[in-house]
Amino acid sequence: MAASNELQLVLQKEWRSLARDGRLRVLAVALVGLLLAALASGWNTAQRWQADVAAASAQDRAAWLAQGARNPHNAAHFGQVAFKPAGALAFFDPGISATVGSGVLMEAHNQNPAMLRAAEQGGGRLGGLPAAWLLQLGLPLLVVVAGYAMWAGERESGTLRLQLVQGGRWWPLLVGKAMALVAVTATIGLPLALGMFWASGGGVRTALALLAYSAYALVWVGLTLAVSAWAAQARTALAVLLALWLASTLVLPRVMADVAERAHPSPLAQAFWADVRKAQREGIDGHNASDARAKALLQTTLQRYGVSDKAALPISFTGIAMQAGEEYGNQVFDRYYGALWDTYAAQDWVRLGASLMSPLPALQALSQAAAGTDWQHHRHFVDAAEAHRRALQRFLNDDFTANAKGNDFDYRADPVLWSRAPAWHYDRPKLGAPASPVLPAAGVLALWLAVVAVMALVAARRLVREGGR
Amino acid sequence: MTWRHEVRLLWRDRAACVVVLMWCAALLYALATGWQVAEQTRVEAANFEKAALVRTEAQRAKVAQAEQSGTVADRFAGFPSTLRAPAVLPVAPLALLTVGEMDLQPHTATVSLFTPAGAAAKGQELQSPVSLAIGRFDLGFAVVMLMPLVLLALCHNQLAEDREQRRLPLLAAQADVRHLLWRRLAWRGGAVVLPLLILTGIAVSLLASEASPLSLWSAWLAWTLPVVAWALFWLVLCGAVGGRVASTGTAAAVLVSCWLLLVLLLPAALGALVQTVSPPPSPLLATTALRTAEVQAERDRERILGRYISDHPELKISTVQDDLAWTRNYYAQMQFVEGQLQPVRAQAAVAAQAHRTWKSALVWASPAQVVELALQRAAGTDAARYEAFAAQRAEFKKTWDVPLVAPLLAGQTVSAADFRTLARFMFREPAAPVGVATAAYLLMLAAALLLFLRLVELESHAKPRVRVV
Repeated sequence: MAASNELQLVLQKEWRSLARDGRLRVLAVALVGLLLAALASGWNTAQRWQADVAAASAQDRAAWLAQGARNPHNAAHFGQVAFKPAGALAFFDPGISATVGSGVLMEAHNQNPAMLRAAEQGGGRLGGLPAAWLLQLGLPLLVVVAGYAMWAGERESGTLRLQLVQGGRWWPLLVGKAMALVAVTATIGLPLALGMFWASGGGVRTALALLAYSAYALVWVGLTLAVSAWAAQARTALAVLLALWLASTLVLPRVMADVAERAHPSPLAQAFWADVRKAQREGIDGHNASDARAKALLQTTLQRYGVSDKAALPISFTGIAMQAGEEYGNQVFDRYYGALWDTYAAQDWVRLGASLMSPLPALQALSQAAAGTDWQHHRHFVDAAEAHRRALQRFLNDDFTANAKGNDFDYRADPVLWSRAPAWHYDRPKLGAPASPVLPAAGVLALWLAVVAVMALVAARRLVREGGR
Repeated sequence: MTWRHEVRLLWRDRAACVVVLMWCAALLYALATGWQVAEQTRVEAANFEKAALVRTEAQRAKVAQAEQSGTVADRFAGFPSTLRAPAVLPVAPLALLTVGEMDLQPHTATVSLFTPAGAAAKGQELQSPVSLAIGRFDLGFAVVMLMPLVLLALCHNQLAEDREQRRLPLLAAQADVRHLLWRRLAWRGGAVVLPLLILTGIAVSLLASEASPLSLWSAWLAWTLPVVAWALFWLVLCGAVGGRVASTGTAAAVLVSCWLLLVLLLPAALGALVQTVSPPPSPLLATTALRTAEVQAERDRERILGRYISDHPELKISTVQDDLAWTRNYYAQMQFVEGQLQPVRAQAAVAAQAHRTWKSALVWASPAQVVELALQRAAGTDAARYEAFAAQRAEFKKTWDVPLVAPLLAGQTVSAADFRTLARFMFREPAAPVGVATAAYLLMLAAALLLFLRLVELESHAKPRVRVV
């Protein structure tokens, strides 16, 4: 028999068996229904969030412009708030959106962490029923339920021996079974893909997400066929696969999160801010002219303007001192936040390392990167907010320096100044802009694919060589 | 003796022994995780309180020195707006049993004349957002998610396997099969629940020196009741399914489906439903409302202070334009802002109440969520305790402000002796945790399940409760 015919026959047989399985039909229909409901619910939440962000940003801009005549340093303390837009595919995978802040107060002297975490406001950690979460858990289960008996069941019932006696070869059997399982996952994937393309308007991010989930499904197809071929009984295959599913989807992520925290502990807030304040005290305090550093700055400034007395300066020295204080503070924040980001990055690598034990962390990294809801996208946002804060403070301090001579904190700037100040604007970054670990995660998934393919192949050859016994 | 026989059977079941051993290891790990999180929170809260007390004591010393020497070294020392009180939520003694909201919600806040009512400490959002999103491997997770699976692994094949192996008629001839089934389930359930009770009991007895033994053990009882009821619920389900289906494979499939539905899908779907039907109030718009009111207050500060003075003839408000004049202005502005925010806060409170009502109503539709909530409540890590903390902080702020407003407005300082009379925040625990309601609910569910099966049986006039093939 020609190989293609043989393959077609195996595929037809497997597909018919799967289509007849009532449990599978129920599971597939339930999963599709839940996925569509999750997409609709996620879409609704993301739209509401975007509307809130737009309204809040407009209100904050209006409040900034309505300050009236005011000292620029008061305005600097009032600051602006950067509200974070929802990730591009947040309706599909909200990622860490609930546990990171959604607004940054950009004020004088402080690089504030993002505030207003949804999980703190009663949204919970998960924030509902994300479609990505359903797929991460449901897709492997569907493959396991569909495929655990594909080799083991046929071996138990003796039909595998019959097929082999009639000239069946290992590779059409293996490929046919794999294709049947892929077809089962496609029944879930197609409505999902349509829903996602409709909701997102297509694009690279959607394609990447779908590609990642397809690879994840293929990993489970290979794993299921390998275990089914190794196991002596279908029951054993099911027990092993369910144990693997449980360990890799529910237990391992939590354990690895703990391990990452233990290996690279996040700083305690109290200690972090105590260190920052201590480092700031060692620098120039813009409010305190008696500070030794401020004295040195005064000398430099006097020399620059060729005068011997502060009163003879053509500008406000307080403005210069405040900007110098900001710049020293920026160095302090760069150092401490840099260490904090490094800690998070190290934790990320530990978690990604767990991908060698389960494909889920790699998938999650890819899915959240595609959705724009991972840590790196959040960091892109807070970095942009910090860059804006620094530009805003420089602008306000420059105005103070130029115009507040003799009045300092009694100086009132013209309200036009607020409209000339930098305005906060943030567009969602393109996929490559934040340093998401897309390539390492994709590499790990590819490795998984290769490993399970070899496992399935070796197990199938062994089983066939032993005559299906 | 039959029980000896059952114990021997259980002991000889290597797979069951491995499952129980892994369960015990998971419990130890989960307890260690809970202990680590609780201890970290406790240390941070203690450091915060200590730092605040040191700061206050230093200020009191400055004031005392100024009173003795008659010279003022620091013109702000003892000024009412510079005084701050730490508000600390003590970590509940049994927090190590269920992390709940402990790693998400603030445990500390600073209260002063100028902090807005209910404001938590700024800059606490430094925990790894990825770890927060994934959640902890604590005893709460082990009980709600894993314990049912462990019970299923040990009990799903009871009677179903006997039927498969054709031992059941023999057993039925020798004893009452129903009694045999429930006895087996009791032994296996005991093997799962007892290590948990012993381990947590040891942990509680070690904690007995830190808290009142009566409250500690009653909280432990409130924690264990839902655990035992949850285990009974799953044992009844195992018995009901195992006693009726023809094969262990079918029993496992039905039970795992029940687990997926009850433990994973239902809570997530209900969460999504609440988020869609009655979302929590937007923290973004509340933030911008506050800032808009602040700008308005700043623009109209002179008029606002004038009106405040005329509205409060009972207060001696200084109108001297000294260095501290801005504090009087600022206090009046804050009162204005509070007034402006009343309608916004009222609207948010209505939305929050509606969200809570939906949440607490729907929680009864999901047994897993009921158990989770009961465990968090008993451990003192539920959202209600943090809401109580916020409410008590707001209440405390009123008490704190009362003796300080008059001196602030009169431009006076607080004497060293007055420091001792300043209010101190003491958290009052909300109503004692009750696990009885949850336990009763779960037992009722289990009883309803049995009754339903009994009615179905009577309806069909058919087979005995336990089918003997």
